[in-house]
Amino acid sequence: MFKKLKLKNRIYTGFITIGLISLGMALVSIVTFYYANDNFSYFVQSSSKSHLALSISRDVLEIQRQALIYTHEGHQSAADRMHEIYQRISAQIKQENQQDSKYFQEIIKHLDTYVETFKQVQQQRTRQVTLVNTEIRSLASEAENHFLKHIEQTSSSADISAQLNNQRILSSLLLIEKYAMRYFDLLDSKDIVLAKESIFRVQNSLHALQKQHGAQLTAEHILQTIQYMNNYEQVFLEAVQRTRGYLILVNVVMSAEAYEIIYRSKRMGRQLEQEMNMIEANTLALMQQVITIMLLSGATFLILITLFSILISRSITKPIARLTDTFIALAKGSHQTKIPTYEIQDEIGALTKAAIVFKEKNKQTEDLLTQSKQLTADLARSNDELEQFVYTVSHDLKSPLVTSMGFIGIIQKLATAGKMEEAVGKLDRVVNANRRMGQLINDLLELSRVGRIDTDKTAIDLNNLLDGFRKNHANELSSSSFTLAFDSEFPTLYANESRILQVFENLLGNALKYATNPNGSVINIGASEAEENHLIYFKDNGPGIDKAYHKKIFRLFYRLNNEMEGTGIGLAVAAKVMKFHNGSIWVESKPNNGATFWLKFPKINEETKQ
Amino acid sequence: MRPKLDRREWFKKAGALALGTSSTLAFPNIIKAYNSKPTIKVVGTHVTLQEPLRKKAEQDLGINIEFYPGGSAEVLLKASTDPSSFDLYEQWSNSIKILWQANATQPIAISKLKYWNEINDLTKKGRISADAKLGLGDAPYKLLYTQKDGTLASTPTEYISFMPYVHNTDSYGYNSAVIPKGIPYETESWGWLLDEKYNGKVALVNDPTIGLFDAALAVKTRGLMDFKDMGNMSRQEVDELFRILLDYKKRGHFRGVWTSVPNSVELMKSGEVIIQSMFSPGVSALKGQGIPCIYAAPKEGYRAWHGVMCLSRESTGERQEAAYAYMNWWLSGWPGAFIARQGYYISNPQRSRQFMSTPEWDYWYQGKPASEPLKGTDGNISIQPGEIRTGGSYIKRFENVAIWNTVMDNYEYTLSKWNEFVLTI
Amino acid sequence: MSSKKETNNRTILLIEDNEDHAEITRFYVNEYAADIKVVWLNDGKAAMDHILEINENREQSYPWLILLDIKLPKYNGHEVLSRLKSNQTLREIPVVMFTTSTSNQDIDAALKGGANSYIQKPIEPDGYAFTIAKIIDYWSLNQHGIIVDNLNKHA
Repeated sequence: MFKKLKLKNRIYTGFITIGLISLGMALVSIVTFYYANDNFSYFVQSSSKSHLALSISRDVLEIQRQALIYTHEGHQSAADRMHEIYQRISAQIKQENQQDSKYFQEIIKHLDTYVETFKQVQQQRTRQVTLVNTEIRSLASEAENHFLKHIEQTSSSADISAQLNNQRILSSLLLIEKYAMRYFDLLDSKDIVLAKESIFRVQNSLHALQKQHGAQLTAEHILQTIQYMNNYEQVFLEAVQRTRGYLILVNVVMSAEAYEIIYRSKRMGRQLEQEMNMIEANTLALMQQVITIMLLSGATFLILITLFSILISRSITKPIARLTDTFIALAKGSHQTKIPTYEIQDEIGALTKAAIVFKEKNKQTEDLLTQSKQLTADLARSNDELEQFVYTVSHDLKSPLVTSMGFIGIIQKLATAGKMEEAVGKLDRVVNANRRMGQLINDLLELSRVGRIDTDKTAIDLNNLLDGFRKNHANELSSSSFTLAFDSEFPTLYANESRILQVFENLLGNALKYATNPNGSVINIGASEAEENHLIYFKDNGPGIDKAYHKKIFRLFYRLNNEMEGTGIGLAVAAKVMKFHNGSIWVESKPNNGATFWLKFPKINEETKQ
Repeated sequence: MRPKLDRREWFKKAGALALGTSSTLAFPNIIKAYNSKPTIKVVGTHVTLQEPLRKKAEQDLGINIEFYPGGSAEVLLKASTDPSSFDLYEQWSNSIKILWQANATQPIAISKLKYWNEINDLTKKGRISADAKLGLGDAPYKLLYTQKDGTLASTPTEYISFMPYVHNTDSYGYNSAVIPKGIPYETESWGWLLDEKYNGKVALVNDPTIGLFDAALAVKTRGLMDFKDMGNMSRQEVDELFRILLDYKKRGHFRGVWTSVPNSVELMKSGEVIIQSMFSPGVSALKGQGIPCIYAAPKEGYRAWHGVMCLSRESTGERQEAAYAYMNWWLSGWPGAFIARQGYYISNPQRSRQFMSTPEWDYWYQGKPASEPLKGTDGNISIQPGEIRTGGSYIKRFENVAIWNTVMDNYEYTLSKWNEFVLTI
Repeated sequence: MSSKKETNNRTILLIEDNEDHAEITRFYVNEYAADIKVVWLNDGKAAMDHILEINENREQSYPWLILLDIKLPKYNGHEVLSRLKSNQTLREIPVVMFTTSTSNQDIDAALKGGANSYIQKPIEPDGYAFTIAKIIDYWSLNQHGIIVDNLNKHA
């Protein structure tokens, strides 16, 4: 899959994948942390709710305590404190903004009922306090006063039993008060009964007295007393009722409400604690899960990264390594290293193309090297030839000079010795020597002209050429008793006419000089075809040439037989001409079997004739 | 319901009968004064101040009736301190003493009570039958007759402090889906209330004159303490009882206390409580809502209560007439039948019998198995066929009264102890 | 300059393909040392044959000196030299290479090949006279004559 991507895309893919995986991991962490955060905020909420629940329990107990204090002692400060705490609790609950929590709603309900009830309690108690402390006292004292007045009034007229009766009534009056107050103090309902009994007795006695005294003035006080007594009784009973009333309210109704609040708070607290524990456990478990996930994904991540790195780097470095090897080989000059295929258009692709070019260049260089080696060889050969040439020339040119000078010396010696005729007789030698030198120089010049002068090539019909050649040399041939025969038709050559002619003339010259056959000298000229070359042969039936000399004879001034005429330049010229025509000349011969000189002309492509 | 008669017809007949009966005797004056209907104010608790009763009474009597239901403490206070705020006061016998002491009520003339002779001996003599136990505490007969010296006693006079009407034996209720059904009078016992098996799921009624006795019976039957006279405990006995109860409370035995019948229904319905003091209407309501609540028949005997209808001191003239009419109406039959469906007995059951179907009479009064589903006062089926009223028949039940709801001499003392009990966590 | 030396039957074998040069050489040799006989051969092979023949047959005496030109038909001077010097007996005969060319190659080859001496053919009129005189003098002066005599004696 990777192999289809560009290099940089592969790298990007790798990085992006790694990036995505890290992102994934980061996301997992973030989500987990948000979740944990949620849990935590819920936890904190629950915690504050729980705290509130606890403080409510505490506060409610305190409220009830204050309520009880108020109930028993009547301290207004307790009632105030109670209200204070109530306000605070309400505010706290509202602050928590727990519309959804039915617990708090219930608590508020109970709390409100509680406070309402307490207000009633306050009412009752206040009234009771008034009754007890003010009215009962005042009524009691009024009744007493009136009765005392009565006693005063009747003290004179009363008999002992009446006085005793009065005293009894008075003491009962006092008893009533005692019982009543004792009830309000100790709250023993026996005292109510006792108080009621006393009241009843007093009332009866008073009614009896009333009957006794009828419409007398003294009865006025009794009437008053009776009235006050009735009021007293009523008030007392009311006070009792109110006492019992608020006692019930406080001890039964309010405490039940308070209990409900506390119970609910505690339950809520417990539930919240459970929830908090659960959240804690959940969070821990979650954390563990997350840690496990993180570890796993971390490990997976590492493995994936390693895999990816390996894959990518392989997919990147392998081609690079291959290319490197290729380049190293190419740098060493190889032009045959296989270049690994790489079809993607990226940097490595570019390098691959460069490698291909490199290889081409190497090949070119190789070819050039080969060429230059060839050329160097050629040059060396040329140099060699040149040296040979120079050597040969200097040697051959120097020779007649030596002769010339040598004989001049002899002439001088002879002249000095008085042998004048001998001396003059040697002059010919000097002339000949110099003449020879001139000849050599001319031949050299001629040789040098080959390739510089008469270089135009045209199409030459050899048939015509050779015919002309035979005609021109007919005399020579016949005078030397040589027969010249043409063995075949001759092709058309692309060459310089005069030079070709020169070659044949040189060959002929040599043949005439060296290739005589006592049985009849025959020269055959023929043509033969090879694939890419025209082959012309010049064959004689002379004594032949020893193999040792097949190469040597083409050297400049080389002669097999020094006595012959000529400078020995003919075959050298022929060779140069053939070279000029991109052909060659060689000889095949066995001693006593004649010699065949072969001329090779390369075929020229008709279309690219130059 | 009689299969042959359809409901409406039956009601019509019953109504006609009632109207007929009452109109001829009770309100000659009322009917004359048709220009303005008199209004009577009735103060009481939810159990007897039910809307169907009020409507029926208004219809039958042709007067305006205003009900003022409330919690018993609240009601008692109001009645005892403000007699002008009511004409009739419906409550239970444990508030008689207080009311009488407060001079809030006036004696009722027996002569004006139409059905006085039909009222059974339970109220007049304290025993439903010769074999019945005489319960401890304020048995109503002790408080019935007003004496010349202003006290209340069992000596018959021309005046009574309250008109007897509804009464019942109470015990505790338990959820038979959780607690296996017991055998009435044999395995069912007050002691169950303090069984540690039920720790945290027990409640008592929030009233020291009622719930305290449930607790005392439980404590006694478990052998945790004994009472010289449970109906009038001494201070030491109160201390000891509360010491035991506080112990239980601290151990979390009690879920709490309930202050109203709906409250008690809610507690058991929600499953917070599986055994608690109960009032009969609560039991019916739970059963009607599908909770198999059993009203136990404890072997120690019941805690009985007697409904009292008192006449306000301030109710005079036309209002008084109307009040008497209402009182008589209550014993005229239909209300008795109505109230029987929540398990309450009426002091003259024979008259109510004709307003009940045979299956109903059999079940509610005879203690026989229900032959068909029976409905409660709220219209829901509360009795399934085959059920038997725990404890058996009316007579049998009232033969087994252990104690009556009572205001003891140490009532005030129990209040502060009760407060401590309630608030202990 | 010249002085005639008295020796018996000294032969100079002159291997030279140029007739003119040979004549000139002969002239001066005769002029300087009349007793020396010049045997002239004009190709390397003939020369070798001649020498080998002497070596085998001993009819004639060994040449006292060989004057060897480099440019020769058939065998060239180097070849002749190497054949001479590789022969146990023949190598005692002093060989003086002389030629017309001035190539260093030739000089090295000659000396490496074992030539006893090397001179270039003169191009001054009195050059030959001078050169021939020196050669004859030199080779007369040393002991090689004894050697050659010995050679001859051991026939």
